[in-house]
Amino acid sequence: MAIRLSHFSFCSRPFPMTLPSRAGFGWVRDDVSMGETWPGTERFDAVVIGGGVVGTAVLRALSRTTMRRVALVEAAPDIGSGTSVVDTAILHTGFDTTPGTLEARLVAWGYELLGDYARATGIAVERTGAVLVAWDDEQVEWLPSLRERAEANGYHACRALTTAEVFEREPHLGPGALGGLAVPGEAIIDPYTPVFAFATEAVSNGAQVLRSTPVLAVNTLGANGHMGWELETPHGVITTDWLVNAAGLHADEIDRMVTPGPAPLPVTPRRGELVVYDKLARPLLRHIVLPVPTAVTTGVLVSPTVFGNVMVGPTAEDLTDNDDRSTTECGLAALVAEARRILPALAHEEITATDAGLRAVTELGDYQITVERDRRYACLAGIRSTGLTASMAIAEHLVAEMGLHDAAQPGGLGAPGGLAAPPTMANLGEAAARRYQASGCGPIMCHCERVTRSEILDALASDLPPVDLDGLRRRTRALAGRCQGDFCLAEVTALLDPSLSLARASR
Amino acid sequence: MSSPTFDVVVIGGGPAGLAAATALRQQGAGRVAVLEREREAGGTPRHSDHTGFGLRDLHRVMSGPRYASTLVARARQWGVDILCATTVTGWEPGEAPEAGSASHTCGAVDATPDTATAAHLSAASGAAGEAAPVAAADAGGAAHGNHRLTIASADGPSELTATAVVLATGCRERPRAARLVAGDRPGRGVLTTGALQQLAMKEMTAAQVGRRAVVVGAEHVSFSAVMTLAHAGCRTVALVTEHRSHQTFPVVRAAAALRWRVPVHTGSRVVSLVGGHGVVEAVEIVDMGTGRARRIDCDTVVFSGDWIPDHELARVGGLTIDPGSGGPLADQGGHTSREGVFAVGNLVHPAEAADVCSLAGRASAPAVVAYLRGGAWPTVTVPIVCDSPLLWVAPGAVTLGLGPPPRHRLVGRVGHLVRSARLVVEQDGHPLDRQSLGRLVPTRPVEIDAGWLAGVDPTAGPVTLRLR
Repeated sequence: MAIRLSHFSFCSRPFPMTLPSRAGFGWVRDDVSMGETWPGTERFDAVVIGGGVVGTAVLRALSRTTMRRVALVEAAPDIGSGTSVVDTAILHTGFDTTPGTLEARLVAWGYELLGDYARATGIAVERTGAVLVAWDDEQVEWLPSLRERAEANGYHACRALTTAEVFEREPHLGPGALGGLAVPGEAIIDPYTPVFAFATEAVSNGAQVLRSTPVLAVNTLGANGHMGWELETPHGVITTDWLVNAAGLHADEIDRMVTPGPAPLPVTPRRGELVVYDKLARPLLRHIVLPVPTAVTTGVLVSPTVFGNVMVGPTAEDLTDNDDRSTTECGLAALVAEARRILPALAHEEITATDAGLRAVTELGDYQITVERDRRYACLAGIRSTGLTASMAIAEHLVAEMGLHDAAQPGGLGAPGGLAAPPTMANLGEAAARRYQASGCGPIMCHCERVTRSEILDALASDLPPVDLDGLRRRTRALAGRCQGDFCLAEVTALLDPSLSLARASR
Repeated sequence: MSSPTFDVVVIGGGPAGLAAATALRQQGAGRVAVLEREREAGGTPRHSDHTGFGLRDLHRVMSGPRYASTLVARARQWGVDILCATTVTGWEPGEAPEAGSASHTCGAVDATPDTATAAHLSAASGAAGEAAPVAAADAGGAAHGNHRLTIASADGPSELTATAVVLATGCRERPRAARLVAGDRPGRGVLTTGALQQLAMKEMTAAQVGRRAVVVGAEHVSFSAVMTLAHAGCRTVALVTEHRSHQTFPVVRAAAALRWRVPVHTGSRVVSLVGGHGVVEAVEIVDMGTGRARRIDCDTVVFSGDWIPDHELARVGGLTIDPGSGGPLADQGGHTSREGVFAVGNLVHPAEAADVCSLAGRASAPAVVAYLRGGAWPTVTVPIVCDSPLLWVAPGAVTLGLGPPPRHRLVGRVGHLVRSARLVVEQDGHPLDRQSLGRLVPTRPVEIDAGWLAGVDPTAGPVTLRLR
């Protein structure tokens, strides 16, 4: 990681990292300030609530404007640990979005922005292209309308495929494919690193990221005429001029704190389960194999991942519990059955991981981005599964709506010391060279994912280090592989917290 | 070629790999290296901190760590290069031995004469005597072609070449996801016995282990997990097995019942984990007979047993895989479907005891040495096919003229309990042997006397094993 900040840190007092619920065991770091110092009485120009991919993208964009003091508060112990955890990890062209919607515009724009940013920072992207496969007559009939929709969205590269062409592209597909549509622009992306790249760059520009900081209440300052916002958190009060609500699944709760009364934006969590197959299955697939959405079903996709696995999912099930990220027996069974139908050879492959994520869905079916300049409140809601692709465009759109100037543009004030260059992130993808392939990399510690000891140490020493094993997994892939820690859990844990091995002395 | 060259590279420094390397040196092989990806060689016994190791190979009983260090010391003593923290990240076999792989893949006998075989045979006639060191180059091994291995070590990537490769990469326990256990995914308290034992060796169980554990599985290793948990101050509140009874020795079960009052839920499956705030709260199990679900409160879940070979290199190298065991198909000398590549130990038979693996490694040495001396790669190999409830047997193929498998036995597994098993061995409908195998317990070794191997007809079809 190239950038260490010089103009960062307000350094009033160490920021107390206390977790809402601590079990009696387990490795959770709570002893360190991690460069996150409590701002004290500092007043911010803007505070973003929510450290997902959208929140961090917004923080990055704000840190590049004429605003001087910006911060992000995240309720969880780590950023990127909510909706952003589970993602189908596709960089969408937006060919199938509803034409004319905000989502359609931002996905198409975000595709370009994130693609460029990934190239600049080293976030893994593989431009595999996608194939929509029709398995019955009804789906075949839908294909032309999908192509028309793509054209309406300004995406002109779709091409109809005959049955033979489908099998030529994907020789391992199961029997019954009748035709398809090629979408050459669709790509796969490392879904975890963007959050950390955005946050790292923002921090380099002087932004603050405050984790384990749930917002308990929002108060307005000034009796007549808006004077700003006051956020109550367990660690104290934060005051800010602008407030940006990027709380994802909890955006409606925050919205209710801001505007008391009935919830204007009911957010429904939609569960999506995923099954990730062993890396040995990767040669079975060349493209993202997308289902043909019809009036009745959406279907599941089978996709390679940049980490070299094959992923199947997601299911779609509307829930009521905002925090229920459990997988279900029938959901997993359905995915396994679909996987074997689409790619029969998967029946002989091991499953490496299963996961479930929640997408924040509103009834309106489009992104709900509102900016109230008078109150200085912005709300981002209903950012569905396309949020990763659209994240940077959402941030740019928001900053423009807020009437802010880019510090690097004429008219901007310029950031102290100039804007930081995009950070160089560790490559986690298999298409480019990994750390273990470089000389002097140190020994491999996680064997399944070939993560070196030095990569783990780098993650621990980064500006936003992991606070638990899951966070380490998202940053380095350690423990994410086929053995799920059978071989390296103890070694990795020892590296994270040497004090644990000293615990015996006191026992 | 500037990369270091070995006559034999053994991949995996567990009991099978170390024993194979030691025996190779003892039988005159030249440069022999063991590549071990962990920081120390020794394999699983390194962190199996209990006694019972070494009986069948070293004829004394010792603890796991002691056994591991003994095997390492013996290998070093015999001049084996042990390269630790060294991972094989890729490999390219020098030649594509079409004839050999075809006979394995199709299960048909393929006696196609090929020029490579002729070259091997002529080289063999001029091979050195037993006592002289066998270096591939001396013995005309150049005809064999070299396997190029890409490795990653602390210094970075590099290459090694070897005339013969012995895969001894072992096996692992299926973790939670691979068993499709649904539910919450707490950040801690869900682990395998392997991880548990490693944490215990480092006295770091506090990182993952709480006070009440459920152990998934009821085989030997599951009871071993109960013991390790007890040492860590964690009570096992249940063992859960899909089989109709536990699979350990009655005395072990009785001891666990007396000492820790551990109930075993048989015929039951863990379907889901319940957790909150990153910690396990309970597991949900379902009785597979009645469909009745119940919840067992716990804060730790150990997934034990259910072994799968660590077969990544075997798969990437294109070796024929035995669908029953998941390991590479190998004959009694360890020959796989790819010329110059041998497979031994728990990669082939997941999972046998450490001393059995060590004996298997040792037993493969004569075949490897014969190959180094210019011996032909077997092209006439008869597959051994087994019928349900037998899941697999190892060796999974037989080559005539190689001598018996280690301990003169085939080992295998059954899918469910068989009270009084009679084995029928046939080839093309002709009976080769009948054996009484007694009571067969799933997850425990099925041992089959290999006396009939000599009677296999190399020109006939596969050998079938059936239980009556």
